[in-house]
Amino acid sequence: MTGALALLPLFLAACAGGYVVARPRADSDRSAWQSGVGGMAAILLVGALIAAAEAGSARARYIALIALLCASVASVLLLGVPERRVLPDGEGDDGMDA
Amino acid sequence: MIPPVGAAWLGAQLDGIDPSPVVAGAYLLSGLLLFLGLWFRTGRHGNRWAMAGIVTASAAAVYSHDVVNLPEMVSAVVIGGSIGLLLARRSAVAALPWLMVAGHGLLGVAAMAMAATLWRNPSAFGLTAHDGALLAVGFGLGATTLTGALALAFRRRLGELALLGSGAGFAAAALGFAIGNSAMVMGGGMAGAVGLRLAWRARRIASRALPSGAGLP
Repeated sequence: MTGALALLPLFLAACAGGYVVARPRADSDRSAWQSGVGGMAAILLVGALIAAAEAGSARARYIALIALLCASVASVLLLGVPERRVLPDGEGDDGMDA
Repeated sequence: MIPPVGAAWLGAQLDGIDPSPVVAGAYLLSGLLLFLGLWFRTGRHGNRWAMAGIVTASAAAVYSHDVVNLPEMVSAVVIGGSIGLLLARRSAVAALPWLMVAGHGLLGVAAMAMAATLWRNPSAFGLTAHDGALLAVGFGLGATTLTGALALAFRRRLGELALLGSGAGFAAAALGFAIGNSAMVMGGGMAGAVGLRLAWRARRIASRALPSGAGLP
């Protein structure tokens, strides 16, 4: 818990930064799912990696690998889907722009 | 009582051990890249800053921990990444918003599974009895995110997608607090605050769009 309290200033600064960045009219030309905000939460992949790396017992390791698998799929989806070029009339290309 | 701080501000401090400057710097750089991703999110390639931030934090995490099962981890990441890439590239355009909903739901599952891992094996992560509350918060927010994603999928409504991102972000922050990971705390905090503000703004816009007296007899 000592580490948790020490990280509290970073958390508050990040919350303040996020609040400021989500300013009005920033997303007016793109819909919510295209804005890439969802990709931020993909940082959970880091936690899943640490959990899988350090898990000692066999059962904990299996649960951590499930977490890692889900976090990997989610990260690629949340970061990759907004990279698809979608034209205003709903037409899109056949893949990502990368 | 305010605990002694110092290098712990810059990164993980577990069992009273200060973080390596390289790892702490990598986590800080990751937080900065995530912030840039948010700042430039209206641009064409703003999302790639966030990708760089997550890759940086992941590399620092693998570098700084004793990895006991690297082949299984690599397999999980490759299989999961391939499934995600296939879905993101090959799905119809109309299905893309629902893939985002599914992604948030999977993050909820990942948060629940990660909290369960930490709860089953607390000594490996240097957790104390006080960290149980953080694990409960992380698990609860993950379950809420999964439930919200399922509710949006069944009701075919996308209006509360920002709220799902907020839930997943705060779940990541709570679990980051538990294991003392500054990248998760920063990224989760930013995602949570942005999601809350966007959801609040969408709600205000929706309420203003109603004509006066709408819904009244």
